[in-house]
Amino acid sequence: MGALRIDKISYYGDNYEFESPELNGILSIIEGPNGAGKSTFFNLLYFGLGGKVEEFESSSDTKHEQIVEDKNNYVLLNISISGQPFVFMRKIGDNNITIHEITIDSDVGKNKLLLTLPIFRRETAQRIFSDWILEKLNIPVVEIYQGGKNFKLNFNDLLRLIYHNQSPDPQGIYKPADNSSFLSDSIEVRRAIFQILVGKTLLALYEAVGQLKKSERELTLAKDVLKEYQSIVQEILNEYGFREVTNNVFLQQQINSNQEQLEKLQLARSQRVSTRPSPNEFLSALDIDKRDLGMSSKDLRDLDEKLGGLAREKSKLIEVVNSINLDLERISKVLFTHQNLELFSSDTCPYCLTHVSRVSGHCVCGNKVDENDYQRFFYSTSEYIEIYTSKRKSFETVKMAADDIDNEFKDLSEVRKNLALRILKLENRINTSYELNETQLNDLNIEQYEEKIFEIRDKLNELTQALKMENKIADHQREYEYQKNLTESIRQKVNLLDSAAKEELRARVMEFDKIYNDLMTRVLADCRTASINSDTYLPIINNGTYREASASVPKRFLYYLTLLKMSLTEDIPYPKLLLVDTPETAGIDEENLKRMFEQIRDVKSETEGFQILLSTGIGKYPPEFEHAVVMRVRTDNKLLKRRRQLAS
Amino acid sequence: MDNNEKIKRRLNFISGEDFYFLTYEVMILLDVLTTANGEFKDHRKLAYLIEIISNSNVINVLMRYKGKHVNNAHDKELLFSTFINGEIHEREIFKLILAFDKKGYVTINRSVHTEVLNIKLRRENLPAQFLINDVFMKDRKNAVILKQLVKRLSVLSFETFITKIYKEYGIQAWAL
Repeated sequence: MGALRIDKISYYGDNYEFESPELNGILSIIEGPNGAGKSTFFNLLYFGLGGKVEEFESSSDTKHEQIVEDKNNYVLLNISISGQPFVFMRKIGDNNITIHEITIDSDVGKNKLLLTLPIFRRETAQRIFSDWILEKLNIPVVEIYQGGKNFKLNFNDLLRLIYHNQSPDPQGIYKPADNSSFLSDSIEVRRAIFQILVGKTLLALYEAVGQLKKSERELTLAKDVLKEYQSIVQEILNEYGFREVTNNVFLQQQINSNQEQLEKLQLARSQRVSTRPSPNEFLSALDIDKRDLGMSSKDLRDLDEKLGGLAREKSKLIEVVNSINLDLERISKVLFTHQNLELFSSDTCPYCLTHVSRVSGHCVCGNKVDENDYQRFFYSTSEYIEIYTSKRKSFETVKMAADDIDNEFKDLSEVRKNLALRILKLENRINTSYELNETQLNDLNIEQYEEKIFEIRDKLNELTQALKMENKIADHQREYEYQKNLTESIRQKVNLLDSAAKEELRARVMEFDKIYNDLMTRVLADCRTASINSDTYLPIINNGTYREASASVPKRFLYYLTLLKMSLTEDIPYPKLLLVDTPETAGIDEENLKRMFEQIRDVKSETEGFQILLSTGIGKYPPEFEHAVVMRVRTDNKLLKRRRQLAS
Repeated sequence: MDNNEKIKRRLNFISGEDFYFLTYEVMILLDVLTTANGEFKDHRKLAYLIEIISNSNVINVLMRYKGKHVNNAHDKELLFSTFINGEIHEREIFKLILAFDKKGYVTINRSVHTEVLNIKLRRENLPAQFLINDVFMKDRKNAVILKQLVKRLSVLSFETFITKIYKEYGIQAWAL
């Protein structure tokens, strides 16, 4: 996991400026009394990392006047992630961060501009600063689903367990959220912050859950597209006269056989052009027409029968429509009468139709009855309206069914019309063909072939179109199945990771407990045991009986320190950085404070470096840390320096 | 009430048997068929009249076959069904008229038979414009047509009424 280091913090404005020394040790202490600018140091740092700092906002009650009223001012952070240096620049009052990547060995491209990213996400797909830095830190963007909403955990949220801000109430452990809302500060979110910082498998799980959600969305989409396409195709095919679904194998077969027939016909026709038919052939040609006529007549009879059935069905439906319509009219009149006269209610006697005082849960006769089962004779206004709406719905359904029949009737009538025309033509041709001379007969024969050829060509066209669409459906079907399998495999992965993550988290919590207990018992004499709640991850001291106020500072500080320590021995996402702003503010005696700081001494890393930035009062640290003090601010030597006036 | 219960109640609803349906039809009939001070004799006729004016198809049949017997099976069935349904609703109409009386919408005059009610509509006690509202236009129109087809509907005896509406149209019906 990538370690985050702060190498240098600078501030430049028209009136003030500040440049920190290089912060290259593992511990850097900023020492000074209250009001000298210790918190300004951390505010600048937090602001530079995309945080919200109220003191830098002109509308704030606690605004930092020198900074808010300064002009052309910005914060510059030199940081490194896993050893790779970057510079972040953020203007005061601006919500974008510009990131420069520093390429050390290239003398031309030094300080290469990388990109400017917004801090806030305006739309889901937007890439923001947090996405960039989390990617660099190898932490995926985790989405939390809560109450039907999803919430993306940003870098600022994770900083809530990295940046130990100055807090008058350290009980909450977590730094308060920048924008505290029901969602962003929910227990779910806080749990997730802890889990992400300590659990690597958990990260994978959250990532997989994100993939699953995405895949599920795509699956639904694929399914909808498939369904939609199928219904469109069905409609088009209906227009072509395909009454039933035919898959592409059968369509191809039909195309092939039609193709063969077409070739045969074309051959026969070209032969006919060069030769004349014999009387025998004339008779057989006539036979074709006769057969055709017979079949067409049968088709016509079938069609007429079908049309008759449809007409009967339609008239039945119309009767239903009318009766529902009558009901609807009556109900509106009933409602109107009810509203005007208010004659009956559930407390109307069904015999004399006058008001009866009925005890609730009893019938008018006095016997006990379940109010719900009491079949009243009368309805309330809202019940009438309900009856009306439901009748209205059935009216529309029946109306739609009637319209469907209408459409089918229209389609079939069109088919019938063409068929009738064809029969007429055949009859004519058969009747006149006996009177034709040889040439005319030959022409007639060719005409017969051509007619057939046209018919088959039409059919072929339709079939090819249908095949194209069937193939497209098959594509969509494959896409859908692919997405289904993908979703299923991700789901299995999620399940696997889920149990692994639970296991890992349990181990992590145990480990955390061990370190935390160790640190706490070393600092506080009256602390026997310290652990964290396995559900909320908040500390429990002496099994929850310990209420000593003076313990709240170590309780919070050592919590952060435990996380840091864990990150040095375990491969967890915690970025090996601790920012601590004047922890004594919440009240702790100097001896305890020093003992608390002494615990830092034991934090050692064998592999990679880590960094602690700490601010505290003058001399309020163990003497052995003297060498780590990088800055001493005083009331007469504040953090921000007035900029040297340039001679104009 | 849970959803199933609601659906059950919805399905139980039959518009032609709803008390409010009977209410507005009775009132429209009384309004159209009687004059300002006139009385409607014999409430039983109302049960049949409701069936007739609430369905324009029935009015059409009565118009088409005026002075003749109905010769079409479908139409015959339609007209006969009004006789059956009217008979079924007779008792409901009785109850309804008594309820109207209590509310002051009508005054009742018992005739020689105490079972038979003569009714006078008290239009002044009904909400203004109620009876002539557009929603009832069809029913009013049907009632007016019927009034022209069969004269003196409000004063006819029950037996004569049955004769004029059913027997003269070739429907075997009998006064109960």
